[in-house]
Amino acid sequence: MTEDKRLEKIIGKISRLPTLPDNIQKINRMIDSHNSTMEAIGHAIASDQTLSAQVLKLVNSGFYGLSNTVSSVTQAVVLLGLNVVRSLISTAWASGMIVKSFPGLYEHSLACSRTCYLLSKNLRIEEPEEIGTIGLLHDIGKVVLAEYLPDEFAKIQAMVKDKRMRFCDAERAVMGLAHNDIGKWLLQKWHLPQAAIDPIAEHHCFKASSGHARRTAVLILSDVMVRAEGFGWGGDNVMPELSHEVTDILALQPKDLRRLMDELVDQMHDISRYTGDKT
Amino acid sequence: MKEIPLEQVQEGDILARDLTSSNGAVFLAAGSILSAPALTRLKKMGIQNIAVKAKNPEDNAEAINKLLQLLEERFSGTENNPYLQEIKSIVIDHLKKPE
Repeated sequence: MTEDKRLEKIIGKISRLPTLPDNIQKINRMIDSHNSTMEAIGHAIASDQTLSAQVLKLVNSGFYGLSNTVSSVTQAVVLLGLNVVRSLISTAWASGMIVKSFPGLYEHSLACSRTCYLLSKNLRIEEPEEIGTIGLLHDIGKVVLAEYLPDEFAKIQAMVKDKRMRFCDAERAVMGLAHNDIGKWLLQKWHLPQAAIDPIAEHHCFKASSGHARRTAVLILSDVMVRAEGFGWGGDNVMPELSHEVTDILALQPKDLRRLMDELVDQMHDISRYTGDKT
Repeated sequence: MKEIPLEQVQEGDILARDLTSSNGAVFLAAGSILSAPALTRLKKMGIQNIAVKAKNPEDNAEAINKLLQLLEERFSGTENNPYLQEIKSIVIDHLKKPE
């Protein structure tokens, strides 16, 4: 098959991506309309018990941990803002699928979310919670791959195992594209804000000149740290690339990393408490 | 210190870290011996993973060695990257930290 035909086939399969259910689309429309109050949106989310429980769990495991629990959806909406809540709702809905189709990925994503949040606060980058949701969703493309492209997924897994390749490199070898591209398509379909989508699209092709390079750099560094410590499973046991461009843009020297990672490990020990329960 | 699933905890294991409820109150302190009834109660509470002290130093050493092996594999080929090498040595220190 030529490369073009291969890409066409992939895109054809991905076009059958799931749309979000009606109640979630309704909440997203409320958010987008800029006409609804935070209370009204909080109420709309809270009226779906399963969804609101999942959202709260994500809020607490992805950002705050046990030290500062958020206990109501309206509180979450007010604290985090609508952009973040929007991403969280989609993730909450997808979490069952994530857990089922790619064991270990949910844990990896939660750890990455928390790390993105902590790194952003530490490096004084704006909107740490938004960057946290980027960490949470950055590998959603892998879930789509596992669910909707099973033949390709099997080939990729075999390559990773036999040739000791990185998952993203095996993806490109088999499909001509990788999970960052697939993730971008899904998140655009879900109408997530572009500021959330762009770092995810670029986390395997970093451009220091891009407008959100700092956020992308935080995401890349978080992924590296989380993989290094072995939280969860991202699809391979090979360290991702970490170019000096990424660390330069964050103004980090190797010696700065120890302090950051010590703090991280301290904050991470409760994360497994959230990932055991798969609802 | 990593946590393990409750199903893998054995009667007589010792809790390595305080178990806290969602408002931060400690309901079972580190050092508590986990009896069978205690484990059942924890399971009923929905607790999934807890940190336990290793009973034998050898068990612990074996687990750590396995993790170190995986780590070596993970970082092979990164010798020329000072950032990744620094991260590797940090993770090794975290793994070897006494409980």
